[in-house]
Amino acid sequence: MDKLMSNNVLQHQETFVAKILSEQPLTNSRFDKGLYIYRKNLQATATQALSITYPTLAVLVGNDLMGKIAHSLLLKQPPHIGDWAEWGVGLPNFLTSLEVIEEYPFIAEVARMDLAIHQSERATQQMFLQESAFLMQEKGLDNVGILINDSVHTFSTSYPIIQIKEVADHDNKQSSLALLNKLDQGQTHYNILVYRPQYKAQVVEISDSELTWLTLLVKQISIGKALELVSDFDFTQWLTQALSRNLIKAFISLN
Amino acid sequence: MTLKCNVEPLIGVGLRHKHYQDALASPAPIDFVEVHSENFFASGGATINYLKAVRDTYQVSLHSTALGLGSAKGVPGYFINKLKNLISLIDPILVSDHASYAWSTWMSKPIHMGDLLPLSFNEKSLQVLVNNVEMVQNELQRQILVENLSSYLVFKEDEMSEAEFLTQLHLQTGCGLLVDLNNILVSAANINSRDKWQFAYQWLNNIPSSAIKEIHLAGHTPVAAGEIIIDDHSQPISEDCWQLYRLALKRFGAVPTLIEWDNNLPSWPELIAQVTKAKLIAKATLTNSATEASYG
Repeated sequence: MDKLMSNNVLQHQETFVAKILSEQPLTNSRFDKGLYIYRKNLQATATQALSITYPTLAVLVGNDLMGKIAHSLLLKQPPHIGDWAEWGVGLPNFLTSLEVIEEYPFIAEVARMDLAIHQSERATQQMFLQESAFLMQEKGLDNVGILINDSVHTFSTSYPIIQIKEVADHDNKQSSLALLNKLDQGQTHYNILVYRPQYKAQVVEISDSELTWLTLLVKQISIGKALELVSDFDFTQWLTQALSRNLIKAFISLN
Repeated sequence: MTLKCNVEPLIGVGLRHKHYQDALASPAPIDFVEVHSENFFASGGATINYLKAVRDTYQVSLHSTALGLGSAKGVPGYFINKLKNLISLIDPILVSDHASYAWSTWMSKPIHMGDLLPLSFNEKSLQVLVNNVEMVQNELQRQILVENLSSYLVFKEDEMSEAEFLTQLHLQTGCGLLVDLNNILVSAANINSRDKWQFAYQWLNNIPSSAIKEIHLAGHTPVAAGEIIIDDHSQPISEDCWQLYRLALKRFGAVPTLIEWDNNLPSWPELIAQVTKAKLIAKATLTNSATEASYG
C-alpha cells in the first residue's frame, strides 16, 4: 500500500483519538455531540474494567471516586494490550501517588491483593505433576527444587487487608469484629498468600517462615538448602497443605 | 454444515455472563450462541472451561470487539494469535469483528482504545482495512465476517457510503459481511437521514446479497427526536428492526441471525422468546418469498 496513503489515515486516526482523550470542552456541534459519546463510553468502560479487576477497591472507594481513579489512570497509563482485563496492573503503585487517598494508605495494599487475585484466576490451570515426586528420592533434597504454580502470589503488607476485604465483601458484623480484633492486636505486619485450588482464588495469611520458604523456592533454591535457611519449618506438613492448595506445579532437578 | 438454507436460518443469541448458568442448566432450542472472543483470552481459569462446556451443548460463534481491523497502526500479531488459539480450541461456526479501529498512538504512547472507533469511508482507510482483513484471514486461515457500526458522527473526509465501503471490502478481501440491522437504524437516525426507511432500504440494496453471512438484531433505548441514539443493546428488538429483518430476509435469504442483548439483560426464557419470534418471522417471510417466487 502507498505509504503516504497509510500515513494519512494514521494521522486522521491519531487526531480523533487525541480528541477523545482531550479534556477540552465540547461545542454544541453535531460532530462534538458524537465525540462526546466516545468520551463517555471510554470513561464508562475503563471504570467498569477497573471495578472488575479491583472489586474490593471499588466497594471501598465507591463509584464516583472509582470513576475519577479510572480517568486519571487512563491518561497516565493508557491501555495498549487490547484486553481491558489486562489493563490497570499499575494501579496499586499509581494509587500511592494520588492525593485524594493519601490519608488511606491501606487502599493501595487492598488494590495489590485484588490484582493478585485477578491474575491468579486468569493464570493457566496447572495441576501437580505427580511423576516428578520420585526426584526427591532419586536425586536427594539438595538437588531438587519445587516449581510454584503461576497462580500463586505472595507479598507482605502493613495492613489487615484480608479482614478489610471480608468487611467489603460481606459487610456483616462478624467481619467487622474480625477487623477490629486485628487492629486491637496492634499487628503491623501481614504476609499474604493468594492461591487457586480450582477456579476461584483464595487468600490467606501465612507465617514469616512460609513466606521466606516460598520466596526461596521461586528463586529455585533446592529444598535441602531452603530448609537450612528457614528456621521453624515443617516441610512434610507444608507439603501436604501445599498439594491441597495446588501451590506446586512440579518437583524439578536442579542439576 | 450448511449455514444458509432456504427456509430456516440458524438463529442464536449473544451469551452474556448473567446467563452462563442458565445456558447450560436449561439448554434452549437455539441454533448457536455468540460470545465475545476477548472474554476468553485468559490463558487459564474458569471461563475457558465454561466455553468448552458451552461448545458441547451449542454451536459457537466467536465475535470480537477489539481486533481494530481498520487501524492504520496495524493489528498486532500477538493479538491475532490469541484469537487463533481460541478458534482452535472452540472450532466456531463463525468468526467476526467490526469495521472499526482501536490501535493507535497518543502522546507518543501506543494505545488500544477499547472501543469500536469509526473509520472515514474513503479509499485510503479502505486500503488499510483491506490489508488488515487480508492479513487476519491469512493468519487464521479462514474467512472472517466484518460488521457495520452505529454512527454517531460523520467525517468530512468521507467519500462514499458505508454500504459501498463494505462492498468494496468484501470484493477485495473475500471476507463476509455481518449486517447489524439495528446499527443501520441507529445510524439513519443519528446522521439525520430525512427518511430512515429509505436510508435502510438503500443500505441493504447496495450490498451484494452473496456477501451477507450473518445478521444481528438488537434494540436500543429510545431518545427524544434530534438526540443521539446510543446503541446500547438494552431493549427487546424494536418493531422497526423486526420490519427491517423481514426485508433483509427477502433480500439475503436464510442467513444466520443473532439476537444481541448486552445491557439491562432479561431473563434467559425472555431472551429465548426473542429467538422464537425471529424463527416465526423468518419462516413466514421466507416461505412467502418462496411462494411468490414459484408463482410469480
